[in-house]
Amino acid sequence: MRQHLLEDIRSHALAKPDQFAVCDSEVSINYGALDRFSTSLAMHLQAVGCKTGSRVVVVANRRAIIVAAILGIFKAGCIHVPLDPRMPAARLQYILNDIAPAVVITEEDLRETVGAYLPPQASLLLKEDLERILRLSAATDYVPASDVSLPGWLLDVPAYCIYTSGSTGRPKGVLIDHRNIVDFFEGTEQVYDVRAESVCASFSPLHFDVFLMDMLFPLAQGARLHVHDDIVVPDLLFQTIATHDVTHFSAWGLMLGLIAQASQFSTTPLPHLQTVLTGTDIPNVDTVQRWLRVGTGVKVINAYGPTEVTCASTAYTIRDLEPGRQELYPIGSPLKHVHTFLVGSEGERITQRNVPGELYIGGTQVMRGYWNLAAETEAAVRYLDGIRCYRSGDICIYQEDGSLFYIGRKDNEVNIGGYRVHLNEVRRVINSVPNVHDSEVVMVDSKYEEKVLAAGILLDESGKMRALDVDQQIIRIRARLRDELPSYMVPRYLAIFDDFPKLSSGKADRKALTSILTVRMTKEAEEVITAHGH
Amino acid sequence: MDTEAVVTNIIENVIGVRGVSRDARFLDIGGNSLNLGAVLTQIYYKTGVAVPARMFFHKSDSTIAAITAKIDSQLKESQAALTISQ
Repeated sequence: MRQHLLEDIRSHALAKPDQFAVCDSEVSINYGALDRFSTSLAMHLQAVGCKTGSRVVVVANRRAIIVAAILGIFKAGCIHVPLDPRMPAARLQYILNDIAPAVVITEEDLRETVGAYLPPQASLLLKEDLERILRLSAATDYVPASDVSLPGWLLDVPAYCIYTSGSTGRPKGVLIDHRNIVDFFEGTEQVYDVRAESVCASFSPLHFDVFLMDMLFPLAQGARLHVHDDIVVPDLLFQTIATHDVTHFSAWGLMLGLIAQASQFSTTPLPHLQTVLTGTDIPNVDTVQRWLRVGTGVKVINAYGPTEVTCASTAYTIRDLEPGRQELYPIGSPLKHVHTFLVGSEGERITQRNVPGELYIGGTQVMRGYWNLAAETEAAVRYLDGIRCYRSGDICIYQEDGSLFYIGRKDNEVNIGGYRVHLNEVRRVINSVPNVHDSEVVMVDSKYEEKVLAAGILLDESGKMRALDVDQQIIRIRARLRDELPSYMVPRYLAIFDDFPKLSSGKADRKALTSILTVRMTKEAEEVITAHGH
Repeated sequence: MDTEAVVTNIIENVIGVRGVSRDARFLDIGGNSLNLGAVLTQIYYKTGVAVPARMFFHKSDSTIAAITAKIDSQLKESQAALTISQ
């Protein structure tokens, strides 16, 4: 069995203290400094009042030192809670209140925003403070720092908490233990072949649970990790891969397509590249095929898994060049410590090929639960054959070769730019605006391969009677959405309806609504162009 | 059409939103890495100025007003250069 992640880091530090572990454009941290820095940070956290189980919120941009800080949080026995630095103030306030952190780690630029909502018991730690601790840790030759006051490398305590969109209309925190991580890493190493001699690059935001596979797994393996701390545009991402001779990196489906748009993509070979990890959304077949051709023996891993089951639960390895391929790639088979079941609408077990059912994902990667939401945890977890499972809400089939293939969602959840969005959360905000009776939110495709939201809105009787100015009402709704939700959750297009198209059951016909909204959205964009007289 | 109207129009059309104010920042109104390419191409096509992609992700320089100012200053510079070379 694998050991605790922190034990991995300690053994690399002892064996090769001077090998660089993680770097960005500002710093390069070797394994010795990484071990010492994380110990010093853990002691600092203790000194400011952190105990085992205390929450440490991290609201920061992707930087090597922040990646190193995660290990310090773990060493102190605290729960790492990464948040999107771009989230609107109201959401940040809600989450800080919900998680009640002991410490918030942030950067100078965000100090004011974060400071305004800092709970009274919490203290603020800036990136500059971390840099000071790092300088002291890296000053002398490596010897493991004394850490007798630290809680030790516990497996059955929560490691991190990731907030995800909730069906109740509010974000909810998913709690993952160190034991979940150990078992996830043991499964991961069988498919994602990062080894001590690998060079990895990380492009993912810190608040996605991909950080586990993308940043911490390479460090656990003793590899070298380049953290891309610049903006996410094709040429810069591609340059990172090419100039550092990167062997492994991960990028969600659309990002993989984006990097392939780099101007040098078809002219610059990537002879060092071995494995590309993708997932989160269904990867485009052409994009995958283009990546397979950038070097000999390159493979693409299509990984799948909800945050609740520790980052990834299943994986499918793609090696074959198939220029004419049309059909989408499957999500493959379960990782080592994962069990998957397909369950039909009557609760029956599905084992036949090509019969759709809900995917239940079981085993030791399943989360501890949602933060402070016992009822929701209970609703999400089921025992099948004595195995603790998470009900994913994803509908899948078994393909002829036995691989799992993703069909769609059971409920109102969609995936936008790698973010899970529960449409109820968007609806809750729209419906909270005065004079709104109800709304339906659907996902439509933009011209630029983005998935975007569009909303149809019904006004209540008083709103209709007062013949509210439609444009004004839409501006009000949009303003409320911007105040409360991150920009990827704000519908691009809002339209007021007298009534929604209905199914025979009386429910809103969401398919018909989607096509109406798509047509209206495209048509209005054209009208704007014509009005400007081009 | 003045530069600000051109920039507003391009961003509104590519992102698919309307009523964007001059203080609105690119990332706050639905701009992202995926639609940025189209915005840059169209700005270059309409104004002849290649705005650096980094600006669109900047905390304060990513507003319509700041991007417009950048394009205008570039245009002025290239006109000055043209005058000198003549």
